Amino acid sequence: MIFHIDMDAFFASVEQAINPSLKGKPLIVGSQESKYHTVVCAASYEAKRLGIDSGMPTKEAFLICPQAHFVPADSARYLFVSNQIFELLKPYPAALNRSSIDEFDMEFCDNGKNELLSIGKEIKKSIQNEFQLTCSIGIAPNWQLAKLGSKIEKPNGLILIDQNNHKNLLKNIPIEKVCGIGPALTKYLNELGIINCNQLLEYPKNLLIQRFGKIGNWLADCLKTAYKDSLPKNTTETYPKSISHSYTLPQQTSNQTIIYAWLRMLSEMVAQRLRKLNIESHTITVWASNHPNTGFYRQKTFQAGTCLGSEIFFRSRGILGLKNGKKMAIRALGINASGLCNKSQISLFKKEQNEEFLGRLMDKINGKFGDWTLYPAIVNLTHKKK
Amino acid sequence: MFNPQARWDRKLPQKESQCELFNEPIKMTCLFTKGRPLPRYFIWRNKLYRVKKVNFFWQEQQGREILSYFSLQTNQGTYQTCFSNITLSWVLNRVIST
Repeated sequence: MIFHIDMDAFFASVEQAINPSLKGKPLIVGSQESKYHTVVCAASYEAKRLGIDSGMPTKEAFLICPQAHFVPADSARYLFVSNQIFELLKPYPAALNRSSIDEFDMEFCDNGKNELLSIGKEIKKSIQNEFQLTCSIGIAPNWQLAKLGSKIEKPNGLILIDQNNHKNLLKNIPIEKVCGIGPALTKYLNELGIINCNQLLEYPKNLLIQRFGKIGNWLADCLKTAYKDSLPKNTTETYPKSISHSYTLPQQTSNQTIIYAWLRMLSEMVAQRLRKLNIESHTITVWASNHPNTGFYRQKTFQAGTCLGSEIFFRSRGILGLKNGKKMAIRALGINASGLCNKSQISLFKKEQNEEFLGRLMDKINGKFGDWTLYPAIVNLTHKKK
Repeated sequence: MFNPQARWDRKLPQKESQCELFNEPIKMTCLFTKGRPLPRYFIWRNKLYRVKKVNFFWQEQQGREILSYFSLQTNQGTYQTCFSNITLSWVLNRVIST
């Protein structure tokens, strides 16, 4: 059986634990930049009840609740707590996987309902005792149902979904609550008369396959208790599939120098991680967006791999294509390095050899004295006013 | 799989501080139990503060330095203090609430 452990309003709950005077109050966790020019990273349940949710512009959130408290996000805290929770879960005799900063999956042997529920209670209690944080746990034969289960009784919920209760539990849950069913798919399913999870369960599989192909197969099976899956096993690959960094700029800008400064910073962040893993990337993807909804997403594969910040910057700058005075207003920017492989050979060119040496030296110094002790000078322009 | 090293705001230049930062050295009396310091009393600006409760604890690595942060509940308010394993010194970062 799969356990999906989802921390309740994780960032906001950590902030409330650090500052108990915020407990029971609407709280917004946002960017360090400026409380009115950012998005809600996390909201406490008191804020959620008022209609404030993650991803909403803070300006909008403060219109809903002007008296809401604001705390700038500090990822160091959240990562530390997430790591500690992961360590706390390790001793359990189960396969363990971390699916995000505040979500953990475990796979236990099917030991009977009561035992599984008591393990769930024990996990909740130990997290509460150690960190004063609550979590919701969904237990089910497959990951999809477990994830859905963790959402049903949030916050501080514990639900075991089996064949006896699953139709009853799913009857009023809208299909968009299922992980993997987004707005577009929801629209198509609604057109077929599928509004809630039970309707999806009862819909003929062959018609779903006919309409959606492979996805139809998944849609027909994912909510069935008979469909069992396992957590992904540890592979021999020691590096990820891709490495990416993105950032929402303090304000929308079309200033090319400022955009390049942010692009250079993100390139260096990606390159630093590539060098740490001793891998290089052949494919660079750049995405950019500006308010309200226009976006840019393009990728290019290069014959030569790289782990150099400057090279990733040049490549992504080319992909973004802001040459020849072309203007583009940008609010958020991201770089993704994929097509990863082990760094097998040293460059033939002296310039590249020197740059890599310099990069590794910079990593060493930053490793000793802290990140961003040394960094490309252009990064200083990231906070230049328009 | 999620990579915990994927820090997104590491050392970004901070434009405006949301709260007053003090970062002043303090004198701390603490116990060391289970490999972790447990603050009991501290003196800040010649005033003694008795720690009623450690609200929260977290660590951050900056290069070789590990900074251990504590949110401490006292009768006078809540304070954030920090211990450095390199300088072996305590600092009061900020007054969380009074």
